[in-house]
Order: sequence, then structure tokens, then C-alpha cells
Amino acid sequence: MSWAAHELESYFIQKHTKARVSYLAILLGCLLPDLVTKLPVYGVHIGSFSFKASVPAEYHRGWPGVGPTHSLFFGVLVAVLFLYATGSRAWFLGVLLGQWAHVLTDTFDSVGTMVFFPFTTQHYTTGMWAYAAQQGRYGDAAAYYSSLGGAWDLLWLCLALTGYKVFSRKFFFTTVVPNDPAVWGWLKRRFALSPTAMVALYRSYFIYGGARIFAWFIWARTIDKAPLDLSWGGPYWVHKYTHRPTPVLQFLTNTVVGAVGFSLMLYVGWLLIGRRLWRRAEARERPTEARERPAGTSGGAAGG
Amino acid sequence: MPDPQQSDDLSVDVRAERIAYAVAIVGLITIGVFVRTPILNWIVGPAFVVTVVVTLTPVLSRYFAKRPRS
Repeated sequence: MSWAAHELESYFIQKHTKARVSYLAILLGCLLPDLVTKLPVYGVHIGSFSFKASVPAEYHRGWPGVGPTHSLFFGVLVAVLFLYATGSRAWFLGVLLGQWAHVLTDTFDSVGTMVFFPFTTQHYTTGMWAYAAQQGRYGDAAAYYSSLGGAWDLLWLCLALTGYKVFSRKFFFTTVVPNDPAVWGWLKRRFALSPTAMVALYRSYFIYGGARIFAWFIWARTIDKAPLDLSWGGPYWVHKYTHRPTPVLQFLTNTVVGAVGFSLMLYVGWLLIGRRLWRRAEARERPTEARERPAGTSGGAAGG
Repeated sequence: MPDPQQSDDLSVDVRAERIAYAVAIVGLITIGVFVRTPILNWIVGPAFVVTVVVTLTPVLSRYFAKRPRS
């Protein structure tokens, strides 16, 4: 699994998406697959009650288990629910892009994700670093930040920094807030947030994501004293969880079935549900956009 | 013509905010190394950043504004 990459990719998506998209929705989408599924992976202990998955990798990424949360289909399902409930296309797109980014990012560890579930349970993985959640939270952290996983996080930090303008106050008040005026406006009113607090809230997941890379890396090197191994599939010293490789022909068949099934599902879903919800949201947003335009051009709903 | 007093106030605020962010970053890394998960999680970590920036920025702004310019 990826650690800080999921927070950092939200800013990268925000920067490179040309359509109107909600940053908070992207962030939610990026965190969504692990939001509630991760606790039993490491184990939950509340008083005498404790719950831990017997095979964390199978529970987290497999079926039966909560593996479907790491599939493209789950992203579509949740995004459509958001479109139905909020009538906001910016939230639909944000949740969809964020969740899909999470699914694809997690294909780089040794277990990978069932990208085309429910059409196939084939796991897609590059095996770049070892999946080691079965070692517990700290064992996983030590393995991840001693392998190419840490380098992967660092790459996302650099990618986010290449679009440094997304962190500016100007970008926040001219793009982020006008793209999602209802939620930022509500946050401002509900918690009496100053402009400084709103910008800090927006930047906070970037700083948290970046800081945790260095904190865990320093901890792994100085306190845990885990050996650094930047070879493919490392670190060598951890028992990594992985699936038996699928024969090439079966892999290709699974991929064709998965890709065709998923595409058909998208097409039929669009014809039956998506098209109506999209048009309803479009009609709903039109008068709102007209009302907001003068405020948006003068610095957004929250003010500069 | 830009008001020199206003641009001075702005630079003081910007400087104060930058220092507050630097403190938040260094604080999160330093505390994170020793405390680990209780602070390095997706709720407390970002909340720590917001709290440090929101509380420290006005304090530093006032301090810089009061300090006589050399």
C-alpha cells in the first residue's frame, strides 16, 4: 500500500484537471478506499474488544474481503451516489478521479488491486515494493520506508511541488473556493474560519503528507534501525505477501473480460442513470453559477 | 501608487505566515519521529498544521509589527 502518496496526489490532480472539480472531493476520493477498511488490517483494540483480519492482505485487497473498495467500479458507484445526493458535478468528478488515483497507485505494491472487479478478481501489480501490513502498523512503516515505497512517496511530493502554484493563496481563492463554494462557505460560517485558517486547512494535507515521509523515514533509520533496500520488490528482510503469478493467457483473458465488462457497465450505466443525473445537476448548477460569477471574479465566496 | 504602510503590513503578515508553516513542518516531523501514529494520522496530522498556523500567525504578526525597524 502507498502511504503519503494518497494525500499528495490530490494536489497533483487538482492542478492538472481542466474541468471544474472540487478539491475536497478529490481528497475524499483519494482517502476513501482505506478510510474504514484499514483499521482491521492492523487490528482494532478498544478495551477488551479487538478485531484483526487473519490474513490482512486478503481482507484488504481480496474477495471475499473489502478488496472491491480498491476497484474502479467502487469509484463509479460512490461518485454516482454523490452526484445523486449533492447534484454537484464537481463532487462527482472529484470523488471519481481521487478514488481511481488511489486504485492505480496501490497497484505498485506486491499484492496490487482488483482494478476490474466485479468482472474479474485478477490482481494487477508491478511488485515495486513489498506489501507488509501483516507485520503490523510499525512493521509496515519500517518496510515501506526502507524500500522503493518511500521513493514512490518522494516522487509524489516532487510531482505535487512541480505545480507549486496550487498552494498559493490566490489559487485557493480564485479556483478552489469557486469550484466548491457551498462546502467552503459552510466551513467558513460553521467554524468562523479566517482566510488564513481556510488556506491552512487546504494546504494541511500537503504538509502532513510531506512531513510524514520524512518523519517515518527518520524513525525507520534512527530508532527502528531497519536496513534500507532500494531493490525492486524490497525490502529483502520482510516477509512480503504476494499472489501466485497468473499464467499469461489467463491474465490476458481476465484483462479483456474485465476491461470490456467495465466499459459496457459504464456505457449502460450512463444511458440508464448517469445521463439523467448529469443533466439534472447541470440544470441545477446553471442558475447557481450565474449568481456566483460576480463573487467568483472578485476573489471567491470566502474573500481574499 | 501603492501605500507603503499597507505593503509593510502585508510583508509582515506573509513573513509571519511563512514562519508559522515552517514551525508546523518541523514540529510535525520532530514529534512524528517519536510519537508516530498518534500524530501521524490523517486527522491529527492536518489538525496539528492548521492549529499551529492559525495560532502562531497572528502572534508573530503582532511581534513583527511592534519590533522597531532597523
